[in-house]
Amino acid sequence: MTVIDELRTLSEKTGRRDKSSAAAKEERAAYLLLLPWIIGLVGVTAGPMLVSLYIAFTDYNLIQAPHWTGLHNISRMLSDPRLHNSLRVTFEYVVVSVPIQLIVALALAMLLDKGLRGLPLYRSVYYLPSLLGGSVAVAVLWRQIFGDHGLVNQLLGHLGIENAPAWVSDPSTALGTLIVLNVWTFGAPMVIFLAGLRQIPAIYYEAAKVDGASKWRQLRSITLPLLSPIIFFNLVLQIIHAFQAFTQAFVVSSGTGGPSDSTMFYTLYLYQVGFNNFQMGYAAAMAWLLLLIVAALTALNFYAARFWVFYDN
Amino acid sequence: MSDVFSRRRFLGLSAMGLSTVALSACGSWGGKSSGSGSLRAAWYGGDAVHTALEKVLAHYQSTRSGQKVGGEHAAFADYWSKLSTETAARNSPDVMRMSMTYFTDYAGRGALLDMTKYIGKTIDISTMEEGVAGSGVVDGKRYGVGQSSIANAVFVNRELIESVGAKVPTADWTWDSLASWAKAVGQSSNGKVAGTSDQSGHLELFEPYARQHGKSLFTTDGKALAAGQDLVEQWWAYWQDLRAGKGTPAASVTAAATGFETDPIVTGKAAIDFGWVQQIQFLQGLMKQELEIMTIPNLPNGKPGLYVDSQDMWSIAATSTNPDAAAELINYLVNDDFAIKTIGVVLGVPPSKHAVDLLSLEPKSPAGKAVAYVQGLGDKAATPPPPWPKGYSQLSTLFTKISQDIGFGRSTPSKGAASFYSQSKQILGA
Repeated sequence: MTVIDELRTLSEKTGRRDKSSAAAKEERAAYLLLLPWIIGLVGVTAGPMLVSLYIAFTDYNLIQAPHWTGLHNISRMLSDPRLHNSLRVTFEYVVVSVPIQLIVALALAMLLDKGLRGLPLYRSVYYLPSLLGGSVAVAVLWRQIFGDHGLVNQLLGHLGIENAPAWVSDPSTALGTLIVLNVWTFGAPMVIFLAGLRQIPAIYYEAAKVDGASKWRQLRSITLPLLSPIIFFNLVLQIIHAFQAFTQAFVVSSGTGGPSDSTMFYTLYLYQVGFNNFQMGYAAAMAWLLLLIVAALTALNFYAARFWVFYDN
Repeated sequence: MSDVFSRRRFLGLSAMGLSTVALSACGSWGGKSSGSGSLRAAWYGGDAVHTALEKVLAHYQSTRSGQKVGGEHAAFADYWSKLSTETAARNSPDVMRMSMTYFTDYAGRGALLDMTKYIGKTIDISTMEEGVAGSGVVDGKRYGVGQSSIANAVFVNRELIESVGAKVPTADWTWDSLASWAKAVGQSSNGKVAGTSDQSGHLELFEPYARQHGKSLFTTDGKALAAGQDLVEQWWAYWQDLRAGKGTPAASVTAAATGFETDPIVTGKAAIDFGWVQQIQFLQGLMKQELEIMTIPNLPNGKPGLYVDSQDMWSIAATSTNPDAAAELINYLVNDDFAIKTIGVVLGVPPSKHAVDLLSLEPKSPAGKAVAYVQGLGDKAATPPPPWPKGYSQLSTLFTKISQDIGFGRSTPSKGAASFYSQSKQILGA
């Protein structure tokens, strides 16, 4: 007998009860069915999160038991120059790469929306980097392309440009190569934009055309407002995604975050602190700070959305 | 770039391509021992190390019926991520390869077994060279048995030096003569070939430099630097002067050298290079021109800065359920003729005369040169320093980072030294 059957029998037995009681039963059934998920949430997500919150206030070297140090990790954060640098690097990465990536994604989505022949092919081709971009293989390739004697410098050499920088091993350009790598993975937001563009009724554009609106005007007055919920969605998602960037910097800098800490993402520093320096307490505190930063930015985004996101209903 | 740091990069790179293979190959990692008679042994290294040690373990099991040994291995960086998590889970391998870079981090936190009672009984170290036999001791307790003898050295590309019309330096060279020589090489080749690779970021070389000045790198308790902020500043100023005078490659070339393949001496951008002596094998394997070995420069009337000890050790986990068998295995690894012959020089120069004789290396081979160098150091080497203190790897990373800040003009030797000193207090005092 399935759970639902059993619950139904139960509810029939007590069928004379009033309606709110039946609803409560149903609610209980729902929770019963949700139980596997709830156990997973508590055991696999919430439990470890609480433990990590505890560890954030301890000195924990992974080998000996953690011991309580109160606010020591937090005061250390205030005076850790490498932490401040990693925050600066990460913000720079997010602030530069996310808008560029979204603009590229939107532009390509609009091009593909023109009813191109073989659209599914193009869509797949442009989506491909999104699947590959976070992988170790592409990061290794990136290192080669932007190396001292890499593809980019060879091309520049053919164009007569000598003394090009050693992109990945020069602190003034290393972060830039990672930003380009992130922009290149525009496929995921592009596909979402494309779906959004498909939702905009053609009738608006036809009406606008009749009224003599230019393409630019159509973009500003029809496409962007109607697409704004999608833009907002992509923006929130990509910001969170960019804050979590790790693999690219880890591989391109061989795990050092170098040269000169120029690609030391927050997550990479966190990893080094926890697993290379045996300071899991400090690493846990850093993880919570990252959570707070991302949460605050997301909240700010939602607040700002009131002023620019237009819901067509 | 050729210190422990680049050794691990090399191991990392060589293993990266094979990481999937390696991961599936070491599926037993993290698994529980399958009986009281079985042991787990773990090590880091490249393919040559894995092949040799697996062969040795197979032989060990075939000669000792009933003794099962599972081998687990990974590239250097991955190895430490796994080992730290496993240790946290009280599930470390019984026998593990331990690097001096992390040795005190583990030993000082109670993760390693005190092996004192096995030394001289189960584990024979009487044939080992003095420096190696003494390695692995912290606060009078024995936490590791040395695998190899190692010393800092200079690798020289004679052909390249002569091709730019310069002469190979002589063994009585000083840091000052290195500087003027390196700059002359750089200028005569129009900046194409620098005299030496840039060593400003290598704490492993700064230590002998400090010792030559009569100072040790760390205080005896390992809680602070003993070398002095002014000496750190002097070190960085020395290399900055070389860099400016084309004595070393540009800072970006140095920063790009994250493995042996990209090492300036391999790419022909520098005529000499510094490193741990056994690295000549890895470097030589990547280049056509022959490498020679020299001792590092000294000061006029400087003290001997070099030392011979073991940077890699065999250790037993404090949580091992079968420490007696683990100790027996370690003895086999360092003393058995089959093990010595099979391991050869992949773990470094063998630490005993018996082992060296057994291998009868060709003196012209890179390994033969390394052995001859270590054995011929004599009074150029002095008593090794105590094991590097807790936080060494973090400090070494910071040293490299600040040297890059200086190299790229984002800091100065004096600011860098001040920052290194203030951060070192937090790292070593922790």
